[in-house]
Amino acid sequence: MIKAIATDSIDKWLRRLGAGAVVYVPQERRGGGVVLEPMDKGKRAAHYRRLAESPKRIFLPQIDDLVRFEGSRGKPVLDRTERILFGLRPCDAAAVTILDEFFRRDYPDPNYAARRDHLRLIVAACAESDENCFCVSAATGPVAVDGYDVQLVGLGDVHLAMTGTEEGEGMIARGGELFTDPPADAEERMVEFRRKSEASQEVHLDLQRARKIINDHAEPADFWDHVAQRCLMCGGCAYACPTCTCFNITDRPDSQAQGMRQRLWDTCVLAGFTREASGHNPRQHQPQRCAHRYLHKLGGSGTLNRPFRCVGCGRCAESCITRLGIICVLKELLEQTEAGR
Amino acid sequence: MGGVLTTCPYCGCGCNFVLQVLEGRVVGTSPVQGHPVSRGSMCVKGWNAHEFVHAPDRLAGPLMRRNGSLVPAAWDEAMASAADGLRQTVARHGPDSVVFFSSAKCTNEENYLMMKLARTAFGTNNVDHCARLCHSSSVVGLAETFGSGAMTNSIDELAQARCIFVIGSNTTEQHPQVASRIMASVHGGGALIVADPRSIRLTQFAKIHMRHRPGTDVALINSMMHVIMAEGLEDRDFIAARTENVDALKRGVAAYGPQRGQAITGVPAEVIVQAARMFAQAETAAIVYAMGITQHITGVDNVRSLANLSMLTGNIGKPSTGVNPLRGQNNVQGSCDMGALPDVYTGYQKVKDPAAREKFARAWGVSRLPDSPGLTVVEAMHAAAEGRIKAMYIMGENPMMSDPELRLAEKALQSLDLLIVQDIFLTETARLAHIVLAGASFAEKDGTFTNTERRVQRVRKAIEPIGDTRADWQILCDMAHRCGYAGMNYSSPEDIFNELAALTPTYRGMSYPRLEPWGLLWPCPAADHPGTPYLHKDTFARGKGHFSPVEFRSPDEMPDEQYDLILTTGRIYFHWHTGSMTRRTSPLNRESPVAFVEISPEDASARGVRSGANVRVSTRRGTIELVARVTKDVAPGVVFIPFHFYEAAANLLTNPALDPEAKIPEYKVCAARLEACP
Repeated sequence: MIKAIATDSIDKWLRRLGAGAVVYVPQERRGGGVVLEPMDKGKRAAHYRRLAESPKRIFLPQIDDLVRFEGSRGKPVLDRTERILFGLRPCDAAAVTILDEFFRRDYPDPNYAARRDHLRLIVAACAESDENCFCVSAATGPVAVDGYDVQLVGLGDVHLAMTGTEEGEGMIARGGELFTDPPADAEERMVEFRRKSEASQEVHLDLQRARKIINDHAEPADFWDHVAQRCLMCGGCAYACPTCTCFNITDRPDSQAQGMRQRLWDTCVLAGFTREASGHNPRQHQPQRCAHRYLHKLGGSGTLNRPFRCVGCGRCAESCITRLGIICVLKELLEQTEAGR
Repeated sequence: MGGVLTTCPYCGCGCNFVLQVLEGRVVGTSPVQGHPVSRGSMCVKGWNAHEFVHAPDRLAGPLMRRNGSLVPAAWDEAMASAADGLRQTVARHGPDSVVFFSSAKCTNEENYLMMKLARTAFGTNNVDHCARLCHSSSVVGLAETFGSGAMTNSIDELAQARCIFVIGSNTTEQHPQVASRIMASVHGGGALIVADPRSIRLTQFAKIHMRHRPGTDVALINSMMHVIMAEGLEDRDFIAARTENVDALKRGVAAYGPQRGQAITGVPAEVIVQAARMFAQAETAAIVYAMGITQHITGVDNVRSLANLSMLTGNIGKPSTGVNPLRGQNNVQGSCDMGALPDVYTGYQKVKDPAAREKFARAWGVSRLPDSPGLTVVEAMHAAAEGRIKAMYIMGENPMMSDPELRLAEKALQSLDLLIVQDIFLTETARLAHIVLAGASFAEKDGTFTNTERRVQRVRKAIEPIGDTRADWQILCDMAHRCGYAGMNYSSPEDIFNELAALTPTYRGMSYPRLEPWGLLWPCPAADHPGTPYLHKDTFARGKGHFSPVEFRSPDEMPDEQYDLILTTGRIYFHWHTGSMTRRTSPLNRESPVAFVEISPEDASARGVRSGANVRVSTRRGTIELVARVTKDVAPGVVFIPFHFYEAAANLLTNPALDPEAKIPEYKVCAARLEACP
């Protein structure tokens, strides 16, 4: 279903949606950047490019309570707050599908599922790329192909609204008279929107070739050594990544017999992540861990529904303390490798 | 979820990040793009800086010792008891029978209050803090040569330096943001020289690695200067225009030809020559150093030598140069600036100076202030052990882990009539206290920290103090009031800041509104002054730069037949100081959960020790047992132990010998023995 909403009616629609849910909207953050915050916390930012941080921390917090335990009994902590994220970008919506696959496929994770079942996503297609965006190369943007309940495409005074799910249709229905049929020239304006947005993207990476190099182990022999040398193990690439799912579990007792079992974000760049109880570590050396990260993001067989576990948001390029990140690493990899040229 | 922008509580880089708050708890951190140091990134400690705040064993409220054990007490009772005890001690034994340890973890405002409390309510200059143990030598050495004891240049300038000389700093592990600039300099074609007894990550990027013997820094630098002068590579214009006493330097280094340099340091003569040329010939050359320089009985001499080298080559007073001591703690620069030191008020105004005393006495509303400098950290411990100090008030410091020769510290603290410890955890030191006051963490209070590049920046309260804890500035104000001093009533940390800025020439132009968004670098003398990224531009703070030639002196305790190895101590990336925060942070403690000693393959095999084996390390002062890590990163004859681990505290072993001027202990060198555990 494709509908249209006047740009200056969007806040009215969000207020209606906010009657039964916490609505997160893009807001200017002190310290720079635009992030999603609850609507009642501040003013909605109208203009922004990529969100400064991945919205995953809203439904997958850095420290998350899983189970409250007393003696041998445990009670799961399930958060069923209705949440609507408004204005996340196509890359982040694609990332949610990757998180879903990890947390819901083989061993459905009850804590994740509780939040996710009550989470609706309204994507705002990107009119303009940020400095490190490469969603076109990653085939996730600038207009989302999936992962949304509703996607808005801003055409000036009007936004097109596309629904991706039944819940999305319900959300449009709640907008009632605010939604009308799309303008007659909607299709041409969409094409133009996409063309201009894609043209604004400066980073282009041949991810297919990178993936082949990695899968074929065709990197130069010391390639990962050179990467690892510059990696100070800050973990920023993983912590900032919208698709990273690594976690650790820790128990925080508040007395001898009771406490909380918690999940914490973790990262495969740290040696302790794979260190076994015996002390043996299959990825003892840092180059192995760096290589693993890229294998996981680009190589292997991909996920069920998309070729890469990298969505092209470029946040790892900004959060890397030595400015390494996936863009720099893949450029070096592609330049230094003959394979697949 | 809401976010509060604040400053990291770990190292002196002073990254800013957003603390994520959910239902009154901090549940995450995320980087901010605009900050000039952190630029959207953090190290692994920063990414995990929220976890210890809610550690299950955070102190929930004050404790008092009853029948030998510490038990919960009401604030009013604990404070009344602490204040009475301090007052009675002073009444009975005089003002100088009490010692105050301030804290490089606490805010500028709190450090200012601690030293004001000591000097007004109790009339003593016995106030010091752990800067004594890290950069007191820098303060003395750089004040003498340049007139100001701080990092001369700002962090970001390093990226443009054409040559960087890193000596005694494991920068990638301890100051990752500085390391990223050093790596950027190398990436841009800059030459990196590393002098370090250990192989560190930066040596992989270095054109030259000088692996000198621990404690031979003066000889190494003198030798480099000898080469520079012998080959006429010094900056004569700069020396003539900006400095004095160069002839004395020339005489002083005459005896340190590269061959003698090699004999003392173990660095091949030709490598010393090469390094000297590389440094002197670079268009801009910066010196970066840390504890490897300062923690010696020759700490001040080491710093003087580096100051000499920078002036000799004209690498001071311009961008991307300078002498850059990297401060280890979030606010160790600030706690020094605030005068939490026994000989100075804020901005290094000397207590010996009658005009300064007069100025502060008037501002604080007291008739007189004590005029003789007080005791330093290690001296105070000795005095306590000898019974001359009767009471101590320790805020946010853990001398039972951080002092040299811990047996002595323990004896000293146990001999006190009254020990008050204010902290967020029941640290090794707090366990010995009579009264424990429960302070607030960085996430629970407002204030300012000053980072290593002199950037004064805001700390912002994200959550209320947890449980029945209180912000340290409020505890100090209450204490002053109860001790009969009426001059410490403040409505907020901003109120305190305004008072201290008015009394401190280098901070005078600062105010909380002006510190938005990213702070100001001191000196900032006026409300319209933009701050100072690099010091000594046209003139040194003291006028002319003063060359101070120094002679090499051997470390206090060298290996012999009985103790045949050199023990050197330091820190590692995943932990921080005495471990009270990082060892309560699960990802960090998981990465490095056990105490270890690094030993060379040669020394290990000679002792029948394999990597992972339990070994026993002894010095004349004590013995610890820990795990051996066999690695080529240390040279034969040297072992390295990080000091983060209470279960094998490195400082049970270290030598309390002090630099005669700065009173810093020689943590970096002592004689030790290592054997396999039976």
